[in-house]
Amino acid sequence: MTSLKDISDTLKTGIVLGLALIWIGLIPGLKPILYVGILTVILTPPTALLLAFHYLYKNYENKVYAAFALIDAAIIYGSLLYHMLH
Amino acid sequence: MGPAGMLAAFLAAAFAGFLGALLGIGGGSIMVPTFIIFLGMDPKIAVATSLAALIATSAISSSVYLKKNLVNVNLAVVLEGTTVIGSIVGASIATLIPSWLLETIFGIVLAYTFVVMINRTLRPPTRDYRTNPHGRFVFFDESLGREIRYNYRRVGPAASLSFLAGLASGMLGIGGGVIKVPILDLIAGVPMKAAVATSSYMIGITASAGSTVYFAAGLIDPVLVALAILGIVLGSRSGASIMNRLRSRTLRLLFSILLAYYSYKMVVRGLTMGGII
Repeated sequence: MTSLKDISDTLKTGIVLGLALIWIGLIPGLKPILYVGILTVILTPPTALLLAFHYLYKNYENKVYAAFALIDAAIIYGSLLYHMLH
Repeated sequence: MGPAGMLAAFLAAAFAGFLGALLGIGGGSIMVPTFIIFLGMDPKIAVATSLAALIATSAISSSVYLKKNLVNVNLAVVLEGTTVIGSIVGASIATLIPSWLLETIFGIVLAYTFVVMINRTLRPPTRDYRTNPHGRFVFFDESLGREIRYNYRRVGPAASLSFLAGLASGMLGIGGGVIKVPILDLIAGVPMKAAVATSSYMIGITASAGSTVYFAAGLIDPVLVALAILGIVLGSRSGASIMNRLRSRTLRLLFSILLAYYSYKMVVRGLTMGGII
């Protein structure tokens, strides 16, 4: 079952991974990796929100909380998609 | 950006993180004006860089808070419903308005931060926890050596005001903790420690939402963001360790004066560039 520790670990891992990718991407010729690194950092919180959704869904009778977590994540992913396409 | 510029950006971010930790605020309020005033950076790029760097600091600090069960995830996701929208709207406005106006607005918000800082330093909170033995939410307070149970309330007004916190965050590249913590504490009735932890968790989500706009607008310089993240993380860690030893009210007051200086400088620069004064 998803716990608060899992959400915590996701946040930390996402940032460490993002930073690692950014530093690798600084090597000349590896610019796409640089952008993947930045995106990894930016998308770490909404990704952790997906775990928060699972945590809230399993631990609380009122599913409204879980729905909010999902909505928040959808807004952020949707915003990125919308702004990239326009 | 040359090596000297990169080093300056790293040092500016470290300075912001260090000072932010000493003052007990996020580094964004210091990083953005330092980038603009001392490095001559475009305000929009400074704001975008700060916002992306705040995601990292928020993730690192809230990962600790989450393990200690201090974050109220239920309330955070509900309030973020309006905060993320505010952040996206704020960032979109920032990309559209002229730089001078952005700088002026930043200076005014910084003046508010200064007032909150001075107030917090001169009159530290003495209020006891509004505990509820039958509260649904619980955390262990290490300083009191006991469990604290509580319930939150007035979610509607808190969510409405959270939109403003998101708007400020997305538009100005700040965490918005100076707005979020009072909303959680005074309006939602969350104990201060849980309010700070929940705000810290929320800052990352809010900054992430605003950053999507800046990323798509091409205002995020990956190298600059990498340096800012490293600088602010290192600076805030050293600031926090010194803060634990100092706890000097005078020091906090002195550094608060720097905030006032930044506020003045940003407003004057902004209005001058806009041709108003």
